[in-house]
Amino acid sequence: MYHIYIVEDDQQISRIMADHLKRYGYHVTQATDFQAVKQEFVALTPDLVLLDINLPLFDGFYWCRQIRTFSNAPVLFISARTDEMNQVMAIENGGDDYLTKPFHLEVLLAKVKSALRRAYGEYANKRDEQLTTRELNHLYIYPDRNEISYLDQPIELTKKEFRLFQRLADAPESIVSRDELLEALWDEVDFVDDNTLSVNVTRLRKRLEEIGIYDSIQTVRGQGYRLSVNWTGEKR
Amino acid sequence: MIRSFLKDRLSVAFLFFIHTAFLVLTISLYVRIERGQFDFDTTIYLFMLSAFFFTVWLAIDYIRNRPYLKKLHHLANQRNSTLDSSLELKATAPPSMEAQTFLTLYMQSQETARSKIERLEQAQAQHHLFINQWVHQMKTPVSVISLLVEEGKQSSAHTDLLNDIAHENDRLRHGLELMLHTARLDHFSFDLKAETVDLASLTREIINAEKRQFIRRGIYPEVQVEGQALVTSDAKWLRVILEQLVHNALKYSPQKQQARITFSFNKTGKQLQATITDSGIGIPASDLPRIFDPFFTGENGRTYQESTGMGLYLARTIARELGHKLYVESIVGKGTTATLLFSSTTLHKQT
Repeated sequence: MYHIYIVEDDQQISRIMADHLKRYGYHVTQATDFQAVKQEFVALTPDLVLLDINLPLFDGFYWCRQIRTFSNAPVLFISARTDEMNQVMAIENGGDDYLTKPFHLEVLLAKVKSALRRAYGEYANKRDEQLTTRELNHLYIYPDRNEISYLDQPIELTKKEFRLFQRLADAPESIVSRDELLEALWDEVDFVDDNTLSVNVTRLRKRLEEIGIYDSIQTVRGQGYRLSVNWTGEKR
Repeated sequence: MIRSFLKDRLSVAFLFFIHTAFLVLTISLYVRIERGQFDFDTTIYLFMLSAFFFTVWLAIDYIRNRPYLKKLHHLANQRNSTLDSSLELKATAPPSMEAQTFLTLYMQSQETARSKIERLEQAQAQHHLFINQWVHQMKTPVSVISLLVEEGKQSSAHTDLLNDIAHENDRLRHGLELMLHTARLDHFSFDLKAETVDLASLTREIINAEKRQFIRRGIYPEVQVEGQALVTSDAKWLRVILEQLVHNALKYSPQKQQARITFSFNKTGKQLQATITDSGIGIPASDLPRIFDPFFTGENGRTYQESTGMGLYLARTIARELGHKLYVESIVGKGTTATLLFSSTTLHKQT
């Protein structure tokens, strides 16, 4: 289990990041004494540090330099300053990556993952997969491979189908609005509109039928869709 | 310079020669009484004598005055005068008491102006620093709110409420960013970086960053471009312009009606045109010429509460600094097209 050390003086932000990372299977410690970040680091020997730049007493750059004198653990800077100068400073002072406030938790998670992967190699990948694999009523979801399998029949979904399924599976048995699904589907190149969403849902239903899951995605008129996990029943 | 010098001494010359004439007249009368003979040559001679002395005095006076006068004329004919011209003048040692007194006054007034400007500049810098600090401090609560909303969405049924909060929070964030950019404008030339920017991917990036806004408002972007659209610009500032244009297009488009915003890039020779077209409410023709004025909100500003009148002003100012041109065409009820024109392959900098 990876150990992440959060140095952030805003209690709320620190807590929310810690909660989110814990949910994804990381062990998290939050800094308590901003005079002794180095000592705390030595005592904890974390695998990765999330470091705010604007701290009381000394700034994050200083602590990063301190940490770098004896450790190569990845350091991710967090700051409200968007200007390039600060980002350059962050990298020059031994930081590995930079996150600007306000940020999304998914982005935080992705950056943490990639930093860990870079630092600890392939081995991290395997452990990642163990961490991210999910199970819903005998159905297994493998996010790293866009794959789901039910009763040992795997199918590989397209990127869009998988994202859609994942978003629905994140909140099983509750309604997910069309807007939320659209948000999940949008990516760098493709901006999905309302009709395309309907098309994708239809396609996903067909793909699920291939492994014997029928009528699991229910349409809730005017509100969105719901994933019902009650698929152990008989095939109709 | 020499003409003005002579002009100043014209009255002295006048007095001197009148005086000489009277002397000559008196002498001639006296001589007439005594001997009855005063020839014309002597008159001429006397005049020449006095003219000679006068010229010598004039020359000496001119030589004494010359450095001061030279400096004075030089400074007076300068295009942009500095606030230390009085000190330069003082170095030339003004020859007359009057000039010295005048110079003292001049120095005092320049000193006053200088210290006033210094005070104002300091106050301005302080203010600037304060704004900067404040905006960055305000970003923290905004981040906290956005994180809390995300957290709340995972575990609560009030998604609509949370979405509304997120939306308002986005508006807050936009406002803060606008503030920051406006404050940074004065320091523009310091952080300009010429680089090759791919407009197409930058546009996509911005659309993605604003995807929640697009989806919430039920508006869909269409990016019409094949491959890349490379321009020479400064990515960070260019982003500010595009964000502003996208933001406007979103704000004034018909909401929740599957409206489109079209982004297209056309290359003609050395020029590249980027257009952003919406099908929104448009801008009344009477307002169009003034939309780039600071604080101008026009008709739409009265109906839409969020108009600050600063967005387009900021966009145009940045565009001008970067050497790009920004136009807006609009038909009321039909929509608005913003065009950004990149004309050269080098980033033109105004120094």
